[in-house]
Amino acid sequence: MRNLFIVCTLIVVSLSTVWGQEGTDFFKQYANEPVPVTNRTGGADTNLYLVGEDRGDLIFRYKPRGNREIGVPLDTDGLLLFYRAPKQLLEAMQVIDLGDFNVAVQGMRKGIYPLTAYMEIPEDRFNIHPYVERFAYALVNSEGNEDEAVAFFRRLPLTKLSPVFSSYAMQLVEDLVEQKKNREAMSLLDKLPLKGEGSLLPRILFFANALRKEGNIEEALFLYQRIQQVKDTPEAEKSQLWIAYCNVELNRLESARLFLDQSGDIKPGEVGYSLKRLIQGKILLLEKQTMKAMAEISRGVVYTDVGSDWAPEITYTAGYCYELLQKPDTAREIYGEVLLFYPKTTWGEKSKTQLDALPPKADPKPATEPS
Amino acid sequence: MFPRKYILNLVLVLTLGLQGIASLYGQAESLTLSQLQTKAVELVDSQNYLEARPYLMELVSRFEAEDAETKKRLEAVYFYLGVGYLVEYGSNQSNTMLQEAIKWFDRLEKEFPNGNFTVIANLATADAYRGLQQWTKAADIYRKLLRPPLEVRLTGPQRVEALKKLSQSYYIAKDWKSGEPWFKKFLEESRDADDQASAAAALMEAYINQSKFQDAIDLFPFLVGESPARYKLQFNVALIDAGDKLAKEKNYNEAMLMYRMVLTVEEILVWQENRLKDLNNQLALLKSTAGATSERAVELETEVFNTDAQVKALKTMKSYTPELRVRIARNYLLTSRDWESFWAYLELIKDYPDHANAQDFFYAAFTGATNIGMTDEVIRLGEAYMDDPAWSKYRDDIIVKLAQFYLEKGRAQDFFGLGKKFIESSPDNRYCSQIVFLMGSAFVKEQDFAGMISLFSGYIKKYPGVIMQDGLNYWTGMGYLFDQDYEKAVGYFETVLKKYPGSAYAEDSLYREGICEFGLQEMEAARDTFETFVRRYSDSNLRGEAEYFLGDLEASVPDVPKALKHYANVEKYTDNIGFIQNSYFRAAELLEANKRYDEMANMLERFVNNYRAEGDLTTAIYQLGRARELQGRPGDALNEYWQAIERFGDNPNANGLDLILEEYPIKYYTNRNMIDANLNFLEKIQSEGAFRKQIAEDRRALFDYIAENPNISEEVKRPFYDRAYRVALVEDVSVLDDQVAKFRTMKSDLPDLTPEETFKIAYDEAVAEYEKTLALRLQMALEEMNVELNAGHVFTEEDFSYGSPSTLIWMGHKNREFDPGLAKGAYQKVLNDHTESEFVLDALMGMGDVEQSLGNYDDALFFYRDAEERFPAEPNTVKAVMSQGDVYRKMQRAADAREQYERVLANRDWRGSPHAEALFKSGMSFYEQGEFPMAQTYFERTYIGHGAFIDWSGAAYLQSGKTLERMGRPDEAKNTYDEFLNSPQFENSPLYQEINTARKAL
Repeated sequence: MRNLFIVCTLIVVSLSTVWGQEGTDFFKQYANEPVPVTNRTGGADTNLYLVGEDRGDLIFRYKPRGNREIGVPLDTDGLLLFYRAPKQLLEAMQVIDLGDFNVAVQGMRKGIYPLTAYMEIPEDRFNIHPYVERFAYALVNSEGNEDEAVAFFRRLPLTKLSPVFSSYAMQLVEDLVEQKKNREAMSLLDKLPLKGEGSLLPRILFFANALRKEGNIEEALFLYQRIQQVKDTPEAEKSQLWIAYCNVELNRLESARLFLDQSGDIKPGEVGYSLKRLIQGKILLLEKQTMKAMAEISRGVVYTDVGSDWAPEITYTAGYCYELLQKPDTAREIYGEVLLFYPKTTWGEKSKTQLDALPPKADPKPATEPS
Repeated sequence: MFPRKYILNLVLVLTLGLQGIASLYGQAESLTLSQLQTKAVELVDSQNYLEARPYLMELVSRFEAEDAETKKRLEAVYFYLGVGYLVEYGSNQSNTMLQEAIKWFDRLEKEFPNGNFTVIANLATADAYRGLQQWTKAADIYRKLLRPPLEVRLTGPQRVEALKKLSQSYYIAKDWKSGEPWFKKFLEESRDADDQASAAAALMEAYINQSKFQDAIDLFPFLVGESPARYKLQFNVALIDAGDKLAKEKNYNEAMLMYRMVLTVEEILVWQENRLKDLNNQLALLKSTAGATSERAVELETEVFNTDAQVKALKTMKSYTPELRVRIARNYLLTSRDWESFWAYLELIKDYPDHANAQDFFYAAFTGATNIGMTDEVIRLGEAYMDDPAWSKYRDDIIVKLAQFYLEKGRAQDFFGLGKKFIESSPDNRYCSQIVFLMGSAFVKEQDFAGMISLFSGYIKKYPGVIMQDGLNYWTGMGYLFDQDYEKAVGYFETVLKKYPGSAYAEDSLYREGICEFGLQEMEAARDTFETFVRRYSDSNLRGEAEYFLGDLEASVPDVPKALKHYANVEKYTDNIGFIQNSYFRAAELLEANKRYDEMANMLERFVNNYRAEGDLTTAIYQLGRARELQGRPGDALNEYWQAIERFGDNPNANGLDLILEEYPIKYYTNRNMIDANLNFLEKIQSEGAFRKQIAEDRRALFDYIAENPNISEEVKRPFYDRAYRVALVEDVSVLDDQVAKFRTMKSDLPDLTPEETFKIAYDEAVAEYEKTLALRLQMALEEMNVELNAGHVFTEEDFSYGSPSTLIWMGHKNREFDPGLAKGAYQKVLNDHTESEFVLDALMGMGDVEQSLGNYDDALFFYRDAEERFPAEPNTVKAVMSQGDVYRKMQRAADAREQYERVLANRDWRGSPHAEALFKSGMSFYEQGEFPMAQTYFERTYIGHGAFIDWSGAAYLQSGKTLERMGRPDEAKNTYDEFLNSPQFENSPLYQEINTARKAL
């Protein structure tokens, strides 16, 4: 519950900060722009202007600024609306193909923002989705519009739209992570649908991992817990272990053990095997059971790919264990390995510190071949 | 596969068909130049290069005939003609098209080397060569582009593209030397993580190929991400190769790094399959949004094609996983990463049980488990290895180690079983010696000397001539030695020395032979043996011990200088504090015996200073105090003691302190009385002329005085036995001045306060300072001096927690009458917390006594037996045996009781009072059974044979009288009583009144 509270608070803060102070609210700015449509419901062919929705009715005007309005229930049988895209919008869309996304965004805003209010109407009844999709594409590829993009995607009913919208939103999340704007990324991630989005989960997991690596353990834990809810996916399986990991980091060892137990029997050679060993080793180290910790860690090291996410930590921890077991020369080699492979990671820095603190190297003994 | 991607990257895919192209040639010829140009531009603009070709060709013909200025227009024509062929290649994959394209681009390059189309034409030419798989030619062109003058004309993306493709060309051509600088450049300039990884991988392969391993290792950070570059088979094979080369040069750490980087075929396949899935997803998504013909879609399609091909190829690849894992396991072993090595081999055993080297895996895992102390695994693996009869390569070694671990786990039965089986199945095996060693050590640990003698002496006979004979003889000798059967033991040690002089046991056997001779009191032989030992094994770690025995041997002669020299050598050659301490103490004793008190004091002072951390400091201080006393410095002795009391008194583990506390008052009063007696005597002589005259003339008067003052020192009184000396004193007493001065000094050096006063003050201070251990000790000491403190106080668990062993025993004794449970608590604390203390025997006896008093006879017997078994040589052990008899008597098991008493009677060391007691109690046991004649026999034996021990002989008289009365022999009873009553030694016996009453009653 505490995790959820923190994350929710974070989202509120991030929204008020990003949107309220720095950005322009284009939804507000273009809210009253009438949308030119042709009503083709039931074989009709009437040009109208869609100006809003009120208690289940779509409200139309005959003239863009006129007073005469008619209401059509959203659940009208055979509802069919055709969007008459303005020329300015179409021209701006063409710029997208030239790769000039900022210009395209600039030219499309006025046409697109009014459409966002009607995105819940199925695409086969109102053909605005491709236009909005193009805008979304341009927006995430443009530069300097991240705040606007976050707000834009948060407003869209992503769970009801084509997966391509979520994919763009995830692209935005990744860009934000790259720019170290984790809080903004979190606010958007909270809106992303997880179920049924096969390709999205790995990217969310990636983000959770980034948060974890930066030390934002509580936030990472929240995301892992969300991912874990999407059962029977590799990401959920991985998240299970990372939840255990985060609990260790937060010194909740009993919870960590619980999630480790739930992760089942992971066989050597399977992806999570060495991670599980790392987590178990970390728990044992916290409990000052060095020998048992060494057994777990070393077992994990044997099955750790140097490219895996936890490789720096498990390698470092192996060095640390050797140090605790009074094998400074072996520890030195392993710290050196961490420094060599992962110099710019936390574990590289820690290894450097440990290396500096180690006693001078003993006289080298010639290595001998096993008989 | 490869060229398709790059051609498609160069020009957008054109879907124009080839039909109808031929007819266009005819049309072109008929057009005017202007029409021709318009048509060609129109078609090129709309990217219809194939359709434009006839018009472009016609333009070439016409421009060639024109002036130089007009000919300049040919550059664009050549270019689009080349492009046209590239596009056509895109459709039909014919190398001829690429060659045609190159022809036109070459013509452009030749005629317009610095033209507008030069850069793009070169890029296109290079692509065409790549399509033809002519990597060197492609590389030449990229290289040209990346150097002046063309370099400055490249846009940013063109530069990246050229670098990337140049690197790829060299990589594919495996031209590592030429490629190296360009891989490096590409790595430096690329910003994309995948590009960097790709450049690093190429550069690493170049370095590996040139054996520049350290440079290669430095590139690892670029390759630990999830980049496609790592998932190339060629790259991983190169890493294995590098690892092998490094390992061959014994650079195991570096080799390990290389192997750790390697991905298996299976891992690569999984990754590529996932990538294929991901690419297909991306492509589907892109097609649904941007359309199938977008540049990115074409790129993705190509990637899908290539990845799919790789997946298919990988599925046919032979796995190198087992070999890689063996290499990794081996390198863990060689880089002292014992833990990882163990797990790596263990997993190899599980995954490849039928591998040709499975035995090696087993052995390596077994050894690894040994190194990291995973005893259970050692045993499990060892037993599993042994279970396979086909495996023999490491069998012997494993048996020896397995035996060791059985021992470690306390599985003696398994150990001996395995050892015997091994020896008996292959007595000639060289490992038998090790097994014999382990078995010998185990027998000694188990104190099963009889078992050791029986087994090994049997083997000596059964397996003559085998390599383990030296060990068998040695351990048999040790068995007899531990049984103190020196005579038999020495023969076995001699056998080792004579028959196996080069044996590893020879050194120890010589030393043990010396000990046997020492034990047999063959002093000359012992001396020769130890001297030989010192000469032959001057660096032996037993040298110190040998020096100690030599010291003892010389001291017994006595040759004091030699003895002292040997004692002094002990600390030079051993770290055994026991021997060092004993050597000091024995040397001090020797010096004391020779009245070299100053040296004795110095010796003990040196021990106190040098071994204060590990030696028995309080005992040394006690001895030092004695030395001071002998030096005539009793004040200093008491001072040493007092300092020790203050310093160590609150440490419950300072055992010697109890002795000091006991000795302090004794020494104080002994010396005080001695000084006073001497001073009184000497001063009386000096001051009383009549007394001088009396003793000068009357020898008897002198002896009467001395008899009345027994504390006068020998050194003072001895000169007075000479009459001339006494007579001379009548006239001149100045000869006594020095002595008087000496005793006065000694008196003034003594503490002003009596021990009672001193201890009481110290006790109050200790209580105030919460020095509870010291307070308890002082309370006990004061009680010994009849100063009662806290009368009636029952000591509790809290007091026990501060008790030293001696005070715990004291508290236990005091508690007995109030609370036997608490008494047991005190004794138990000694047994639990002071297991090495000399008071353990007292604690066991105390426990036995309490249990006996509580009627817990079985428990009482347990403690008495334990006391007897653990301290067989202690004088007080007789009490343990006697008490067992007493308990049996209470249990009405008279025969068992008498058996215990007989054990006392059979031990010559317990002659005297214990024998008297045992006889009396034997008699009592018969008496209690109503077997009066037998009882009478024992009572008679008691008072006739042990009359000097009046408690037991008195009791025997009384019981004898009673027995005779019961037997109806009153006259004999009367005689017995009379004998007691008439004997002066029993006048003060507490039984006198009772016997007198009994006599009168008769």
